[in-house]
Amino acid sequence: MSKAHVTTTINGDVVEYLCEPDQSMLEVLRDNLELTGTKEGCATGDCGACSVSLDGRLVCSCLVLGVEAEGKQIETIEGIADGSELHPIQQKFLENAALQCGICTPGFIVATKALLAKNPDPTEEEARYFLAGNLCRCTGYDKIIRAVLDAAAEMRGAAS
Amino acid sequence: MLQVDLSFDLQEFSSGLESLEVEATNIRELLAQLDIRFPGLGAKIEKDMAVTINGVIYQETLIEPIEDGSEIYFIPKIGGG
Amino acid sequence: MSTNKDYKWVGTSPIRPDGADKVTGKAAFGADKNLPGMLHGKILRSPYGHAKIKSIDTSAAESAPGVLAVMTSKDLPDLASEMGEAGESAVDFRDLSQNILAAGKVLYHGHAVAAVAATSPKLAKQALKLIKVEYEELPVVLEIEDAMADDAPILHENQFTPGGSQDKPSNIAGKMKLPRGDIEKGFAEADVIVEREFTTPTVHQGYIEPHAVTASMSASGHADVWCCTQGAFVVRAMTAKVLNMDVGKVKVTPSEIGGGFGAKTTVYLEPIAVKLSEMSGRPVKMVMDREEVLRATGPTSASVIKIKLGATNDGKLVAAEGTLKYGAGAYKGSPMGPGCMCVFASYEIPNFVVRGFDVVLNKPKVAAYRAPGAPMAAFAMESVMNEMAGKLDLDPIDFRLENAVKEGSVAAYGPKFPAIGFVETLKAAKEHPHYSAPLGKNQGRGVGTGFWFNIGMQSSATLNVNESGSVTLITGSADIGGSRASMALFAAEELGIDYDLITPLVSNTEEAGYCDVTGGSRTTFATGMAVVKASKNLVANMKKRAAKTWGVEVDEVLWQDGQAVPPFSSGKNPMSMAEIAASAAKTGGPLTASASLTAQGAGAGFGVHICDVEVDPETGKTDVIRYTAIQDAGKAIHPAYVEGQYQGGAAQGIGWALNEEYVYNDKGVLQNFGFLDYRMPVANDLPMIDTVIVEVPNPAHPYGVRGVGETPIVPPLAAVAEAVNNAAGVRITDLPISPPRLLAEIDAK
Repeated sequence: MSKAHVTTTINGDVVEYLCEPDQSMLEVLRDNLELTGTKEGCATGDCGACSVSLDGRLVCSCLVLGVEAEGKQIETIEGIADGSELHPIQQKFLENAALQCGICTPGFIVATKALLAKNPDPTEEEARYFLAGNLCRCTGYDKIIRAVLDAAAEMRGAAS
Repeated sequence: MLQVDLSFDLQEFSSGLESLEVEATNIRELLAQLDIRFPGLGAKIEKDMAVTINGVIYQETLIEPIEDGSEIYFIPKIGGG
Repeated sequence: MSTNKDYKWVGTSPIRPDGADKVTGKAAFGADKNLPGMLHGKILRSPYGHAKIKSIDTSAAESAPGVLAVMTSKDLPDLASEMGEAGESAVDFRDLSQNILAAGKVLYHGHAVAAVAATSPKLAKQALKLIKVEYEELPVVLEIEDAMADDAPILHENQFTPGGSQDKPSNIAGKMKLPRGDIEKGFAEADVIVEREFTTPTVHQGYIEPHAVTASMSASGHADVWCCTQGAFVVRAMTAKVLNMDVGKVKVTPSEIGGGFGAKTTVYLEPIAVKLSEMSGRPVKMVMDREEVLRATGPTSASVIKIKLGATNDGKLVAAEGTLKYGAGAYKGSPMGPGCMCVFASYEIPNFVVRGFDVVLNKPKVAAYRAPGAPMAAFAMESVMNEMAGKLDLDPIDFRLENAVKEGSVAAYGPKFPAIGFVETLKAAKEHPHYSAPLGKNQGRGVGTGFWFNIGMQSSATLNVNESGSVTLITGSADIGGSRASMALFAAEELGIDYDLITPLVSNTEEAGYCDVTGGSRTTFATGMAVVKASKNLVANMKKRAAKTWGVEVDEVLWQDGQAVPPFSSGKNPMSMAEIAASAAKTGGPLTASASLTAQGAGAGFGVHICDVEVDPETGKTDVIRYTAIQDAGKAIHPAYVEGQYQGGAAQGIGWALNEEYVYNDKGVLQNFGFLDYRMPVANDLPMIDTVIVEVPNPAHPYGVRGVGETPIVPPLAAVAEAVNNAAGVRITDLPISPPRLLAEIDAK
């Protein structure tokens, strides 16, 4: 099977790569492009550890093919911070001790950014339902939800 | 003199004796004394058991000093998640 | 609760040192390690739950495109059955080896049979299909009591029940008995007796990061291993043993670890990756997928537990009888022992007997899971305690207070308790507003308590002082939930310098002093103790340096707030740590300090959980609507991460109670091998989880620390079940309380 040539934009950079037609976006990010911040927890779309944004839409990169990225805009965990300045979501995850092992954290942060873009002032229940596709086994979600609501408040404050 | 109580599973070595007194000043001496009295018992404890001295659990140590009059009990070694 | 205000750093919750890398995707976990020229290893797994392996033909796979090595158990040394210490508990190395690659027989669906290394994961997977294995299928046995029956299919022809027939092999690999007093007399004194049998399912630890390793064997016979593990030294010990290598020839570098909960204290892939690397001369990377994780790693034991409890009308326990049967999976070694020791450990009961059975089954060999063996035992005992409180018309917490162990009580497992905080924890639960809050329709409340021993074991720590006075702190204890922060807090407190000046590292087996696994809630306790001791050694050294500089006696020098303070009579000014470090070359050379120890006196941890649920009587669905976890931490070093342990353990326990279970078909094939069907709690399944940190200091630790990670998974099973009982008017004895099961209970009323 010959490889496909793909031109796309990842975290603002124009990127070209060759990939197998059956390679997932997750495999391309991790194996071809060495963007290993995006994690594989299940490869079946059930855990959210591989969450990325594709043209502004939250997706599990394990369920997207690498060839589907052609001409699209992708944002991964590596593109969330502004240079060495942490994004408020990242900062609030740290301040709220919202991670223990940290393997689910990139996916949660990408998903939280997608949530807050849609709904800058979520209730606790809205945050819980939106993030229900991201599994965390360490925290019981309490501190994650607090971090998300805290980040939302901070971002609303900064925006007003 | 130390007060040593043996759990049910260890009484197989002591022909059913539940408790005894032993003269020892550390765990190594204690196990050596037990092994003299009931061959195999000290080795079994050293391999598979933790030693409790007045309720405090000691695992993987032979050098721990034991004060005279202490109560000794042996339990299976404990791991954890 | 009580917090010692004398500390500047201990007891605060600063941002963890490794935090920024973990929120930006820079932190390297198990699967993130790549090496030039690396091959990819894949494993062929058994399609049968139980079968004889008649032959394996790997020749077609060996000549397949891109394949550089193929191996089976024949490529591993034949090990004698030998119990050995590797990590935190004894392991039979032959069983370990045969679990890594099946020899002669496959004992569960998913049991590893052969492995391939190829130039891409895809080619490796294609080559697996070319391996021809001839099996003779055998009957499977999946349920504990079936496996104990006389006519059960036998897993191991060479396994005999201790104390039983030595002619007829048996699936009962171990037995235990803990008696006290006279139970017949005890039950005769009882006014009320409750007797129930409980079952709990096989459940998985459910870490999000699958097992992963990259290994490279050099031509000189040195193996370099990178992997996600709770203990690099235990990986080293087990890998060396399974491959018959000297431990000094195996270097293990731990990656960041994406959860373990006990299951990453053993090895599955590492010896295979090293061997494939040796055979191919290339580095080999192996990463499990989720299906492999669920089919062939972890889980913890299913159980069948019978409890009979007798009490007097005034609420005193007088007798108890417990029978605990735990499934070990394919090889002996369920946590039946700790289960037996825990089941009555929280109460003073004058007469009891506990009997335990360790039973092998055609399921994956169990691995440690948070307080191994205790949650199922507590589910049974605490459920009976709740039922008994109801029969006696006593408040469930008052009933427990009446019988709770305290300092000086003789624990059911033998020794006398030193200072413990069960009574304080129960009282804190009773006083918590949650306990007396009103409930609505179809809602119910339950309490459950939990006990765990906690452990000490071996740890080492090294401090290297930089010329600016900042410090690098090296240990070999995997950081699974923020322990770098706790280690830095101890060092900052002892040295009197800022937390930010300390860089804590988790190093490899050739650079760090020996540390046992991060497990058993030992790292903050034991590795923390090594950090405190190393820091004290460093302070003593720095006082010496200052004394030399000033020309005074060392015992005249004080250490205060990160400075050496001279005697007033000397007329000298204090020297800061930075100044001492800057002049170290002139006072004896670089400043370093180390400490190693076998930590003793890990203090027992007690927890009490309060759970409110709402049950939908139409569907049988249970929603947890309020939850509070209260536990004695001894001393919380980093309170936010202590809370995190309470919350995370509670969430795992809630999942165990309500949803999680391994579902097998009658051929022993796991049916729910993904996260969609192996249903762990998600964010909208849970409420906020309130916590109360009780602090009854552990006298054996310089800061009073007790381990906190294990205990929180012990109380939830019974707390949730009792809440459901009270909400729906049922009596739950079997987990999980899934909607169809609860609906059947409601309909049967």
